[in-house]
Amino acid sequence: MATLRIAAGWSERPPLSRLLPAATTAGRYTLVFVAGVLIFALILLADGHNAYDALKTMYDNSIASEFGRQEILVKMIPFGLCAAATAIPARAGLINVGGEGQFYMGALFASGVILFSGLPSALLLPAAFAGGAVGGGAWAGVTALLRIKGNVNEAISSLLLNFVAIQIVNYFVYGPWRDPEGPAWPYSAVFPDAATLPVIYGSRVTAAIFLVFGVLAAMFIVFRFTRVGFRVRVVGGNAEAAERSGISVGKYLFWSLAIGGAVAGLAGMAEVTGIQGRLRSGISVQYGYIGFLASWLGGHSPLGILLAVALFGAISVGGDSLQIGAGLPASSVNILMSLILFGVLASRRNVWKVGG
Amino acid sequence: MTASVGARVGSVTSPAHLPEAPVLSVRGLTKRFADVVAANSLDLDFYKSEVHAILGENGAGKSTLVKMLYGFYRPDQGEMILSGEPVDFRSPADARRRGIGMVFQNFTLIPALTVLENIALVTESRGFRIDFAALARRIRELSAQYGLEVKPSAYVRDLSIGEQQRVEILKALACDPSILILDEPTSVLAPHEVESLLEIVRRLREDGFSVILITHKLGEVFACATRVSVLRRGTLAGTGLLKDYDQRSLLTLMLGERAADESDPETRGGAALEDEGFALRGVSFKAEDGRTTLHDVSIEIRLGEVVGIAAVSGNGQASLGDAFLGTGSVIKGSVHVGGRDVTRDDVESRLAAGLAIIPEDPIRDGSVPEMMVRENLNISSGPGSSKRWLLHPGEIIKRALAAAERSPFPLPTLTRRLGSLSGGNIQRVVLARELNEHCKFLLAYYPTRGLDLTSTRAVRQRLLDLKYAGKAVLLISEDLDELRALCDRIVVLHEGAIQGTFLRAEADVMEIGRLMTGGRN
Repeated sequence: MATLRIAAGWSERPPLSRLLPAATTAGRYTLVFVAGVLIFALILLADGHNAYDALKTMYDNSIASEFGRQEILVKMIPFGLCAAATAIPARAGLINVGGEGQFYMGALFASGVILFSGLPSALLLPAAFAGGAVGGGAWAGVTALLRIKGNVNEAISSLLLNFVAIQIVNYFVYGPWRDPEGPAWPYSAVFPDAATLPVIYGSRVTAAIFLVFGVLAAMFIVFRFTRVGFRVRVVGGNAEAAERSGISVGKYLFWSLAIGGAVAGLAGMAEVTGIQGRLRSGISVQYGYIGFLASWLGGHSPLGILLAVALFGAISVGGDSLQIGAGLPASSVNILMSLILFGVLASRRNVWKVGG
Repeated sequence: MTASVGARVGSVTSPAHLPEAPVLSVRGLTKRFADVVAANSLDLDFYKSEVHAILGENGAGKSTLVKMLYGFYRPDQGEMILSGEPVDFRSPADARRRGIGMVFQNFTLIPALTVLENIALVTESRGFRIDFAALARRIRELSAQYGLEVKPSAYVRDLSIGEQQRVEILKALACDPSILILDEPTSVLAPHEVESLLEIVRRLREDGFSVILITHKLGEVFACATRVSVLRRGTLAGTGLLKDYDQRSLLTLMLGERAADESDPETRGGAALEDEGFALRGVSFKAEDGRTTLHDVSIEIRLGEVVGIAAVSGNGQASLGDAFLGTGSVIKGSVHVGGRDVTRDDVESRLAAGLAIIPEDPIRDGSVPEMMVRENLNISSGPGSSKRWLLHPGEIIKRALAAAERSPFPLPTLTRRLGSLSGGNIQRVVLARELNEHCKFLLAYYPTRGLDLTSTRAVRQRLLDLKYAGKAVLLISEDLDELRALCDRIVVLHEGAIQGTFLRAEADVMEIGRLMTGGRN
């Protein structure tokens, strides 16, 4: 009897029963998406717009056009990195709402390195990369230390630190780093060409898109195949049990948050070196928060995040076209994003405990 | 309202001869979960003025049965007849309205509310105003009538487990039931609280209640039941008046012929080696909330010895594990594992020295509900866990299989998510993990709590096997009989200080009980 049960424990399940749950999950998400679009259309109708035209404008200008598809990839860079910044700490049971602030600090440190390090041009980008990671990681490290040493809730401290980070960047671009030769805007000096991310030929998509794929692939490997990843999951699953199993919980909490922050910092670096070409105020259009939502939508899993940020990228690009085409504010698509997110969170099935 | 309970008094004096019809009958009651038949075509009758004990091992279907009676589950097949008319409960509220009350194993009280407010939650669900004064009067009457002493104005968070259980019983009684279900009521109680609970059950019976008592302890059945039904793997193995059964016949019904022949394991004693296993020397311990929970405690467990701690819950025994493991602050004294002072060492190196702990609360402190059983068998960083950077996919499976093979009882399917299992099964997984081949110094909290007879025997045998293999075992248990059967020495702890040490031969239950409750000479 005992051996029979044990044998059943590790024998591989037949492929069909493995695919079936995946198929039903996909079906459920499709339903949620369709329902979200329908409700969004109703809201547009109620506001006196032609919902069909608006949705068609969104579709035509995003996934249906070459330019739109490129723009989706452009958006996927900050979305994807900020989503990973939420997902990595989430595996350790931490809620990092600080992607926005970590993004800004990464941008600040990368810009500082480029503008003032005096490094030879070949080293500028690698140094900016390191600066971005250190800036974002250190900023998240503040949250981690508050949590570990002072038991301060990381969701609250990371959220509040976002506003501090934005003001710090503002201080520099309005003050000491402001370009004396430039116009009267809060901009830093323009970066040299050597500090500009290369683009994939003929497009606006920078090389940073490979960073997104690389980070997500690394997440997959670490959480599936390494001891460190396994332990992070144990800490996230039950910190008390982890502590009693000899895992230094504090260490894992610190590093998962710091690495998450570093990834968000890389997004900031990619923004200033790839898109803006300088540091200025307001470089993030809620990227940290959209990444946060995408991570939850994707269940903090690499593949889920990739799908979620592609979807959010498409909606966001479509939203930009609404502003021009349908006279609607671009932010109106935030309604659609939140409808989809609520739908997905509400439709997650509860696993029933079998009694007896 | 208040008179109705009293009106039952004296209706039946001799429950053994019952010409009347049952208050509740079930016929062909069946419930399936996925491919498991938890209750298979059960036929049972429950009578007024009776205590009807439902006996069975873990997973025999006891809980499933009473959850159907209480409207928590709806049966797949079969019918329930209450006072001659068929009923179909859609919810526990339905069942309560029809006179069925239940006290769950896990309490459902709200700690931030008073006793009175907790009871009002179920009795005063309609209307705008709550007549607290009248309810308090009624509670005091019920308390006095059944010896359920508890202050209506006390906050539940300040009550002991035993008192909380009394509140649960009052809550059920306040709904004016004719049938009262108690689901393993003694499993959470300290020894001295059990006797007063059984007395309450007897009084309820004398007052005309039909009490349904779920248990796997034969002693309780003989102490207060009048009728007994035995479940085995979801089917009814036997039912009838208790006087027609004896201990042996009930055991046979519960376990089958062969298993009933085995007796409980008992230590042979006296084999302790000279070498020290693990020890505390003059340790004072401060808990997270700042209270000092251990005062100058010195205790030494030698290799080849089982030492027991007898203590009423909340008297510092919880801190022993933290002190040995290094998960709290030892403010004075030193901790020794394997003859080495480990007071300043971290958890990992203490585990590496061969320390293993079966935690006080396996679900809270020892399990990761989101992970599979086989992953939970691998979470320790102690000896035997590989230090390699890459986690070989086969390694977790291999180690889990080894743990399952070693395990003194069958484990649940290794790919099940731990959080989807029952509490007893989670405990088995944690036990199987901690009772590994590297364990040299074992601190076991209530290792048999909530386990059925077969598993309990297996665990007790395993503890003794460890002792005979020259390991050191510290056993913390609320079951004095268990301590007396297994331990070479019993140490009594009260309010964080050692009150006395008894050798097995001279262990006197009355004396131990007196010291446990802080009695002075």
